[in-house]
Amino acid sequence: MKLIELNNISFDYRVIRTTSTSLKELFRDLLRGSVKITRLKALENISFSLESGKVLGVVGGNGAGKSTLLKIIAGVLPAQDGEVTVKGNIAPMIELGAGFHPELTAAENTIFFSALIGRDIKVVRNELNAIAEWAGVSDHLDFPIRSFSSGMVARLAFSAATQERADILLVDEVLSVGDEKFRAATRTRIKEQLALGTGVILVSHEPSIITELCDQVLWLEKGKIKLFGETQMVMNAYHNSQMS
Amino acid sequence: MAGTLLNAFVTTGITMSANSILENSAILTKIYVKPQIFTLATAIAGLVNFAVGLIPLSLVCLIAGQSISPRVPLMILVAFFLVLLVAGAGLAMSVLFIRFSDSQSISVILLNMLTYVTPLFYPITDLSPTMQRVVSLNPLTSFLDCFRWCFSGNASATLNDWIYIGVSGIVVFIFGNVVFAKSWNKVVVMLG
Repeated sequence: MKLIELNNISFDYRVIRTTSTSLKELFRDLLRGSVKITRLKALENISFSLESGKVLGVVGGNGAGKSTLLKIIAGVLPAQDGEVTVKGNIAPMIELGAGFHPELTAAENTIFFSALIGRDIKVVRNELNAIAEWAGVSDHLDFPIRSFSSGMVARLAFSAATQERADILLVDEVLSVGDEKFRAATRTRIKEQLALGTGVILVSHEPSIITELCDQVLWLEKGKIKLFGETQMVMNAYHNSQMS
Repeated sequence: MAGTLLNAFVTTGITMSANSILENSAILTKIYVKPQIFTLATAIAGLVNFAVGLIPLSLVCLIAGQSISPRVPLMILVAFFLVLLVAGAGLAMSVLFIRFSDSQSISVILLNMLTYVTPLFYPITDLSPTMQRVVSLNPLTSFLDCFRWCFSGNASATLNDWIYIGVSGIVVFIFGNVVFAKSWNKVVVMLG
């Protein structure tokens, strides 16, 4: 079953070319007629689909449009052209810990984050101990998150996002954070979800993770598809381009 | 004093509601959530402070020998339309707050002007007929009359006042949502 289908997606940033973000200075520049608006293409004619139980890797240099692509699929940014079809619920992991408030406890943050991504709070309350146990923070469930290390926050956020099976996982560089034990545990959990039919879009700069997990790879360059296809073929070409 | 409480709710409520989108940009740029929820939640949170402020206000009234009106339960209606007004104005202004960093300080001046055209510290009858008409057009004047009438019976609220607060609350709420919906796709990219 196709979980995600993108047809000719384009996205550009509309930028007012004034040096200031001041309302007063914009008025001044409008009166002078010196306001120029330019459009920066972040994505251009992107098309692909993702089947359930499959992993699509996304590679490319900085500013290639990888994160913008994930945000469009997550619904955070609107696609300006083309069509986005998403079937099923999404667990976005564009940044681990997004939605966590430093003054709330780990338990409160887990419930708040789960509510944000559309989970049933009653179910999450019952699963709090399991979420904390996987993240290795069982003893800190009632501590404010500001007392956590960044690694603990990442583990808790990943655990909360993946405790229940999501139809689609959007993963942006998340598998590259934390220690080796955490990285191995995240890969195992993603494989468990894949076996249950979850579709994953994985953005990473680490070739080993892409090669290990992905069925297909999309290589973006300056917002356009440079190459799309079978993992080894795309990664070989990507690797060669990085070396040259 | 009742007017000060109402005015504080409106001015701080609008500023905080307008700021709520910026404050939660870390969430809104990573997870899909209806951004309007944050503005509405902030307006409702302000209402809680407003309700808490009623306690010392009641004590002062009782100490001063003023009675609390049995019409107090009708304040729920005033509060409901106030939340609509605050959330609607906050939504419309949030777009400016995102785009222009100095719009927050400009909004303080505008909200101060709104305060001065609300008869908080002066009786409306002291004004010239022209200014009386201007002040009467300010929805906060009707909100204030209805609030005082409900709380202590210390003002007269006509049917027109009740209709005006209802209509202005609903219209501002719809206006804020329309402005926000039209602008959101353009400003969301500025949140980072």
